[in-house]
Amino acid sequence: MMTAGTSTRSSVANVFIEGARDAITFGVAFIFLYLSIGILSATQSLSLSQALATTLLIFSTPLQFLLIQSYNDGWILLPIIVALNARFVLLSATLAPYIRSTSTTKTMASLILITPSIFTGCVTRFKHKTDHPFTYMIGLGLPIFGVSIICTYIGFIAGAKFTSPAIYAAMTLLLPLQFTALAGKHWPHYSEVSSYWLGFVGAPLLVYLFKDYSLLCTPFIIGGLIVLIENNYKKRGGVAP
Amino acid sequence: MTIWFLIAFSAITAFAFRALPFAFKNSTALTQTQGSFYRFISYSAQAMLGVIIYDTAFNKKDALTLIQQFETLDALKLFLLIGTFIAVAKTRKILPAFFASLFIYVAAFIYLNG
Repeated sequence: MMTAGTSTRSSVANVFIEGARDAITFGVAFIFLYLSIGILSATQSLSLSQALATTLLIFSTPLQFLLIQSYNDGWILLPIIVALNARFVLLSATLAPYIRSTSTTKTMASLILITPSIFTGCVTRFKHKTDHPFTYMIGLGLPIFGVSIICTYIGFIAGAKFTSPAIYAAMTLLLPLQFTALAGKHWPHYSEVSSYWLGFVGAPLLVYLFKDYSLLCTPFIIGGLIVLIENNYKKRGGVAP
Repeated sequence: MTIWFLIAFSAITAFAFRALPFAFKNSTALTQTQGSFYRFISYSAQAMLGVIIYDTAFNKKDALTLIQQFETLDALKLFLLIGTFIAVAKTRKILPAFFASLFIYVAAFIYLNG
């Protein structure tokens, strides 16, 4: 006979496996991205330990590409690094309500897994299933993180042998395709989808206003606008018969 | 400045920004997921992904520069992004649309660049 404890363990294991299975879908682009990061590190004269350290300690593709390609710029990179990392506040703040019952130690140890892809995978699931959210995040994030480390290593070892204009062309569209596909998973949650596309359309326009701080300011303008519209719509809906 | 310093600075700031919201995890602003503040944060996160994607796909070009330098490959990028979104929204499957779009783009790039 199955006890309640065994049932809970089995349920936790199932959620972990579901996360790991979803990692194939949400994390496929990471194979190409981190191979590219490994290759680029080799061509930019980084050591293997430096290449691996960027993945192990930072795990943020835009920032890793920036560091690897422009580390000679030195001090000037510091504000850009802060600006690029500030986006993690938004991701963590959105995930926090779902995993707030998890112990601080476990949460701190898993923070490296909070990336836009893993965030999107979690939010997509948590909208309709909220059982063992932390386990799901670990199930989804760990394989992606592991594969990214291995691919950084393979890319570095393979080095410049893989470089070709076609590979660089593929790299420029990998991330956009992946995130747009993930945004498609939010359908029909119109507010999330609208926010994503307004961010996309607003980027080349609001850059005139916010210049180098566009990545920091544009999302808040759009987020605020959507909430205002939504609140106004709800208010009118409440008044209407 | 060494690359190691930049890696350490990036790692510390990334950790700090990832950890910061958990210090306020029990505040009502973050626990009420239907509240205005939480929705504002959540929608801003989605908008930020949109901004990152535009910047990556079109190399951070402003609107005027994009129009002036618009190429066939840019049109294809737009078409594939919208097509991928519609395909995933309809089928709920990511991988077929993702790989088909990636294949089309690389094939077009090779064809156009000899």
